[in-house]
Amino acid sequence: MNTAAAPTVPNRSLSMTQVLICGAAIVTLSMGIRHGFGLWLQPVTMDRGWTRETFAFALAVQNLMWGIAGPFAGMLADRYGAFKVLLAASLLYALGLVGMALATSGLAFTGSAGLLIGMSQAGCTYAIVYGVIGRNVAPEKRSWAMGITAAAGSFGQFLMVPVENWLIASFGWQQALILLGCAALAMMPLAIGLKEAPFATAGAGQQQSIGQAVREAFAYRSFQLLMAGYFVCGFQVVFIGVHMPSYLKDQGLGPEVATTALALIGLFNVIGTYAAGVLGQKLAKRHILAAIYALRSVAIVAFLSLPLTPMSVYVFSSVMGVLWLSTIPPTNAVVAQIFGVKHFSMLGGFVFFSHQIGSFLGVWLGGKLYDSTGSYDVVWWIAVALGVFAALVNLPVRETAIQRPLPAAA
Amino acid sequence: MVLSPTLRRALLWFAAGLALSLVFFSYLQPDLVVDLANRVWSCF
Repeated sequence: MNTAAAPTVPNRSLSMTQVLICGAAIVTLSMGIRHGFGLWLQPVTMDRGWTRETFAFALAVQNLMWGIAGPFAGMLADRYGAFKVLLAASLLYALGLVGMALATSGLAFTGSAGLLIGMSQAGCTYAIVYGVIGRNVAPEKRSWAMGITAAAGSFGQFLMVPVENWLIASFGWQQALILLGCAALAMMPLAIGLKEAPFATAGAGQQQSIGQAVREAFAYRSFQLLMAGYFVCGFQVVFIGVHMPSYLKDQGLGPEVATTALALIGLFNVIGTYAAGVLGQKLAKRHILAAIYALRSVAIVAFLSLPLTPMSVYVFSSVMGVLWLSTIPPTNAVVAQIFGVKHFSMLGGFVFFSHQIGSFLGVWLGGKLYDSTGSYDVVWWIAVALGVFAALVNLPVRETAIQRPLPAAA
Repeated sequence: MVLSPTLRRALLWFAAGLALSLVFFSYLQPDLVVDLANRVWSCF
C-alpha cells in the first residue's frame, strides 16, 4: 500500500509574535478567571441560602461541559477558524459570569456557572489557541510556543486568585462577577489578533473528513496512550488541588500553610509549563511526559513518607507546581506531530475530554474514599500508581507523523 | 531606539521575573493570607 507522511499543511497567515501575544493574553484571562471560583463559595451560599452542594454541583457541571464541548468547539475552530469560536466563547463567558451574579435559583446558577461557562471554556482555552499556533508557528518552534501559551494560562491562574479575592472584598461578590464578565469581553479584541486567512485546501490530509480524522485517531495506538496519560494528569492535579487543603487541615497544619502552598504551586507551575515547552524542542516528548508522571509519583511517595511539616508541604508544592500543567505543551505538540494541524483543535479537545474525566474522578473519588475510609491515604496511593502507569504508557508513544494511504490516481 | 536581541530577551526575562515575584509576594500579604485562608478553609 502506498503511504505518505501526514501533511501538516501550515497556513501561516499570522506572525508568530502576534499569535503568541494575543493567544497568551486570551489564555491568561480564560484560565485565570475560572481559577478563583472557589472564592465565591462562601459569599454565594451564605447570601442565597444554598447548600455547598448546589455550588459544587455547578462547578462539577462546568468541568464536565468543558470536556464534552471541547471536541465540538475544536471542530468548529478547525472548520471556520478560531476567531469566530473565540468571539462566541468570550460572549458566553461574560453571560455566564453575569448569570452567576444574578442567579437566584440553583438551576439558574448551574445553567450559568456550569453550562455557559463550561461551554465557553471549551472555546477559549488551550485547544483552540493551540490550533492557531499549530497553523502559524513552524514545527521546530511549536513546542516552545505552546509552552509560552501554557505558561500564560498558568500565570493567569496564579494572578487571578489574589485579584479576585481583592475584587470580592472591595466590591462585593456580585459586582466582582460582573467586573470579571467585562474582563472576559476583553478576549474579543484579542481574538482579532488570531483571525486567520481562509484555510488552504491542498494535500491529502486536507481532504480528510471529521469522521475519518476521529476514526483514525481513536484507532491509533499512540493517541490512545496519550489520552490514558492525560486522564492521569487530570486525576492527580485536581485531586491535589481540591483535597490538599483539607488533607493539611486534617494533619493539624495552619491555614497559612495551605495558602502558601497554593502560591508556590502557582509560581512553579508557570516555570514548569514554560520549561516543558522548551524541553519539547530538544528532547523526545514521550520521554518528557514519562518523566513528569514518574516524578509526580516520586514526589507524592516522598511527601507521604517524610514527616509532615510546613517545609515539607512547601517543597512538595514547589515540585508539584513544576509538574502541574507541564504535560500540556508536550501532549498537544505530539498530537500535532502525529496527525498534522488540520483537525488539531478537535483532537486536542478529545484528549482534553479524557483529562476532564480524570479530573472528575479525582475530585469525586477523593471525597468518596475519604468518607468511606476516614482518610486520603487510599487516594494518594491511587495517584501514585496512576503516575507510574502514565509514565509507562507514554514511553511507547510514536511521535512521528502517521502514515496515510496515498489517494488513488485519477 | 532599536534594542539588541540579547537586551530585549534580558528585559523580557526581567519583566517576567518581576511580575511573578510581585504576584507571589501579594499572596504573602498578611491581610490576603488571612482572607484567602478563611475562604479556602471554609470549603472544608
